[in-house]
Amino acid sequence: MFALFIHIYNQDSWEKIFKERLKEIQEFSPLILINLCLAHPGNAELISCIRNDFPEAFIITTTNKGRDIGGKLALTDFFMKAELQSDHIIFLHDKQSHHWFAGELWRQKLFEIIEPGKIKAILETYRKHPKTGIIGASEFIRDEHDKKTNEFKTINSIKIKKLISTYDLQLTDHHFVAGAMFWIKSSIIKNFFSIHSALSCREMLEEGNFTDQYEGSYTHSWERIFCFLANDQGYTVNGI
Amino acid sequence: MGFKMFINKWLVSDSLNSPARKDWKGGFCLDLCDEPAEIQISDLYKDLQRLPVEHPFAILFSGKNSLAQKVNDSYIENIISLFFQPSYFLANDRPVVFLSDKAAWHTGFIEKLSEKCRNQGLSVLLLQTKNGKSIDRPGDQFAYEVTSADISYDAIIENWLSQYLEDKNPREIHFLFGAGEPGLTEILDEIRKKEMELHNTEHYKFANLAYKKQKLIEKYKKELDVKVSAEKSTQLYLSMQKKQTADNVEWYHHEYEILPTWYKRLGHVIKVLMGRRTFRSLFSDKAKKYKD
Repeated sequence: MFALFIHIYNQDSWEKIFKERLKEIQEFSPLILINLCLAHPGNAELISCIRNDFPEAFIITTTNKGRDIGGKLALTDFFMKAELQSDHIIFLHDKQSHHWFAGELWRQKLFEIIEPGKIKAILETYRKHPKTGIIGASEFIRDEHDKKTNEFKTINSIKIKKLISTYDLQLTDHHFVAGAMFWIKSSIIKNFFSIHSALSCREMLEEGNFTDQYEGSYTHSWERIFCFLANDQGYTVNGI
Repeated sequence: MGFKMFINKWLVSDSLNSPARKDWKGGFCLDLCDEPAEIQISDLYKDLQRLPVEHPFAILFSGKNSLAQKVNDSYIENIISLFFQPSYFLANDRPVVFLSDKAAWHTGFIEKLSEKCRNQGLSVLLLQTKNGKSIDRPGDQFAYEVTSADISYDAIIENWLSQYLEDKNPREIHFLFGAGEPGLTEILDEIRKKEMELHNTEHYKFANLAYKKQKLIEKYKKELDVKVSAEKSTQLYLSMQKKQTADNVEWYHHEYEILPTWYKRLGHVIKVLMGRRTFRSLFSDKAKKYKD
């Protein structure tokens, strides 16, 4: 069984992006956890719509802190505290990427990981290769690490290194899924966040809408850290 | 979130499964008097998920047990997770927390809670509870702990109105009823009668209208904030796209435009030979240029 952690910032994303996709994968009976951003009025109506379609979905509402990463951490906090059970977690959000012409195309490719056919293939990969920790869309698997300098080729390098040091992550591989949508073994999440609470991790994230175009951020650094957790625990990051 | 009303009635109990909740129409207020271990926190989160959003939920620190021992991150984070529940009562996006007299003395706990909330981007609204006899005293807003039907609605509404007219932006009015209060049913019946009378008074009608206006203004302000934020983001994205376009043009100039004309023309002939471009298009702009 797997759980979907969905962060929704834009009010219309439920109808536009998620509703039909989730209906298509109902045969897998996933656990659905949704975080809505408090910044928008009208959440009550949206919650009614979601519960109408998926009565068993768990919904939380949080502040606009850490963008989708903050939402995913808040969902992780709920998942841990409510002691929900699943073998795998899929992180999703209503990615917009307005700053990039190919933003819409990016999202479509990232969302391929929840196509029914791909889900079967991913579950099979996890079954056959127990050391697989994370699975994301192949073309979004990146490695920014420079072994010679031990720097990351990104504006977030200093903050990434600070987080690696704070959480004492022992890394031999620095691949991550750009776009922060991927499958991850639940045990990786549980192991890490039972030591470092998800809410305490969320505290350091930036508030509001921001990008990492001109300045590094803890939020964008956490996009990498989520994937590094797998390597720290002896698992791999794979593409599909 | 939780649905807001001008006058909110809360049933206070230390358990979500209190039998008194069965016929209760208002909000539910969980009295966190127990030690953390005594509350089945995982069940609580799951149960709260099943509360309809129109039935608000809030918490009360009654101070029956010492809050001083609870100034630890883990307990406070458990509280903050409750604020993220969709039925939690928010006043202008601020989670409302009721504090009894005794609990309000635990400044260390209150400060820590406020600080941890700030770190999550939340500003908590702490409302101290007073017993029914305090209600005719004008001043700061608080929540009323009701132990008898002896409520002076007129004084409360007048107090609210005077604050409103002084631009103090008063919040909702809250009445807390203990689930284990002896004669609760009779008290509620009596209060309902008083409310019926209150609803016919001019000052209540005016106060209720003012409250609705206040809520509408808050809603519009929030919508405006969202639009301002969206506009700011759009401007930022636009500037980033402009930069990307400029970078692309520069790249094109250095990689292609800089080549001699004869070389570029030869390139077009090569495209025709490779089947990427039609032969006719070399001689006429009207001819179809690219093959599908």
